[in-house]
Amino acid sequence: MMRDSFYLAWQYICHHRITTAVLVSSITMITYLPAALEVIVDNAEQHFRSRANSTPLVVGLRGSPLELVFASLYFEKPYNAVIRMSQLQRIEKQNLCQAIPLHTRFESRDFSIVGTTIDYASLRRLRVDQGRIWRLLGECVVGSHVAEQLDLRVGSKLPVTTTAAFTLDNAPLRLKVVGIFTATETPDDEAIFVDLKTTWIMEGLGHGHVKGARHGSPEGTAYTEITNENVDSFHFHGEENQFPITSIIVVPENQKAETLLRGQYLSPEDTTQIVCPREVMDSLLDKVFMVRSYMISIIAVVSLVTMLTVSLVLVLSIRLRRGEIATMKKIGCSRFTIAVLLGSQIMIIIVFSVVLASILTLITNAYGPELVRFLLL
Amino acid sequence: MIQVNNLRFSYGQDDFSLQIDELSIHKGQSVAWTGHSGSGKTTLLHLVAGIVLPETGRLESCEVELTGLRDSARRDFRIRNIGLVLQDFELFEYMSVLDNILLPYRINRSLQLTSSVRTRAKQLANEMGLEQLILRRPTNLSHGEQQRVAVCRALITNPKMVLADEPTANLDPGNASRVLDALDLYTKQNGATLVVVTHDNKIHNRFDRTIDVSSFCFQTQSENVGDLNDER
Repeated sequence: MMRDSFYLAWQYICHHRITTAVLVSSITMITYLPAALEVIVDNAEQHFRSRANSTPLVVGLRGSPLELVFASLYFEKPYNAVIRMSQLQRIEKQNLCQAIPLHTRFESRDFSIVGTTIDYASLRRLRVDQGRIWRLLGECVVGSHVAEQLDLRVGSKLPVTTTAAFTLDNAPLRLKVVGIFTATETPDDEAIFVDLKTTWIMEGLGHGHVKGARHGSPEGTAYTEITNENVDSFHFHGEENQFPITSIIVVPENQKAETLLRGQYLSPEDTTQIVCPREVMDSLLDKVFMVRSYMISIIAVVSLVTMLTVSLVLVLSIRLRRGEIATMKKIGCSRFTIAVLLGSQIMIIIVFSVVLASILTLITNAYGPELVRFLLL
Repeated sequence: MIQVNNLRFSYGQDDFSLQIDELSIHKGQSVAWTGHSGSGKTTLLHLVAGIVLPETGRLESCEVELTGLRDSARRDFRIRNIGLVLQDFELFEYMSVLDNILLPYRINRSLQLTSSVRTRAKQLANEMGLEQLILRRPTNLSHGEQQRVAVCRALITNPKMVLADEPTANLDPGNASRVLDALDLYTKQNGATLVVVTHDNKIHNRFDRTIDVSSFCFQTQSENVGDLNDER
């Protein structure tokens, strides 16, 4: 009997495709939206917390702590709030921590170029999948996503597209890809890593040309590519402690060292700040959770209204079917069968909607990290 | 087959009532029920089918005393014993012709839908000239075709009695004759009783008996009431 009721309900649903589609869409949406919101927020929380938890402290120019953290952890966009190398030396000479400089002012084809030291790869446990880590000026190792998107292989050449990174003669510097990192599903997959000194060459603080030639003479034209043959001719002008970096990742040896370091940046006259990414992210996530609460309240109201409308449509549909129900009763259909028949119709619509919403939620979950990056970064 | 004694029926506050002291229709008889609009022809058909119950009196249909049965028992009785051809066909637009014919087997657990039933449904459709139309929706059929589907639905359960409410209304003479022939053939082959409600005097000669239901009808007030209550 149940099978026959489902069969008749299915026939009815198939015949009234548009009404069914509207009902299924409405129920799917009110089921999917809160689930998707939950999935996205969970992914965002996990995404932000895992990166922040593995980065104890960050030093940078005084200003927005959130911008500093996003620039240092996510290489969100070229970050122009620079500090000097003397700040790195200021930290290092205390022997309280490991300090890793970052330079994220430049990009190539919309991917950030991160100038740093090999210690960064150790900190993030980055493994080279193909090729090797950078050793010389002009060499770079790219994240897995960059390699995939730009179709790069070991040996490929990559122009630095940021205008400021042109050489003294206004020709773009070309980087040589010497390695590709294994995918980590972190922002490191989206970045191009070079030695810190390579970024200073992009800054125009150093260059290479024919030895002995005067700057400005034809022989003194700067090389646009650093090769094994010309690398020895590269040199820097100026004091290294005045060279720019955008931030410093600080890994204190212990809690005491962390407290001591943080205490040194309390002076309001200090032009630099030290921030704890975990605390910054906690503060951001508090705001995200607050927005989620508001959205859940709005979705709840919308869901209630939608459910009332869906109920009204179903009640009206049953009223329209009074003649049909009367005919069934005349032929000999029981009240129970009529209830099962109408219930089957509603159940099929609900099951369809829930299955559809579940599939959408699974897809959202599968693409959660990408969605978070797309929506929030 | 139908035995009515001292039956009284009315619709609550309505001034219409049916009063039948005695009515007998024997097994295998074919009977035409006539009478003016609102005289209670359809009501009497519903009483005999057990769709409604009389206020008082005795009503036996297919050797079953209906007044003593509960609603669910009457529905089971109806689906097993009675083939109903309803006014205006009352087919289901969302089902195919075949599904409309098989409907009684899908709405009551006292009937089992088996492969032999399906075969019989197709055979009935063939006999009615519907073999090419069994997968179509009723809305894509002519009036005559729709009525033939309704007849197939009434006959699919091999009923002991066929009750047809104006089965030839709105049909051209050719289709009307085809429908009546089908009902006649079935009842003769199976020894079933046939009751047909009709306004059409030209077909009275096709039946064993003609009963004027107006003689059982009492209306205490307006003379126009009958015209306003065609569904009776």
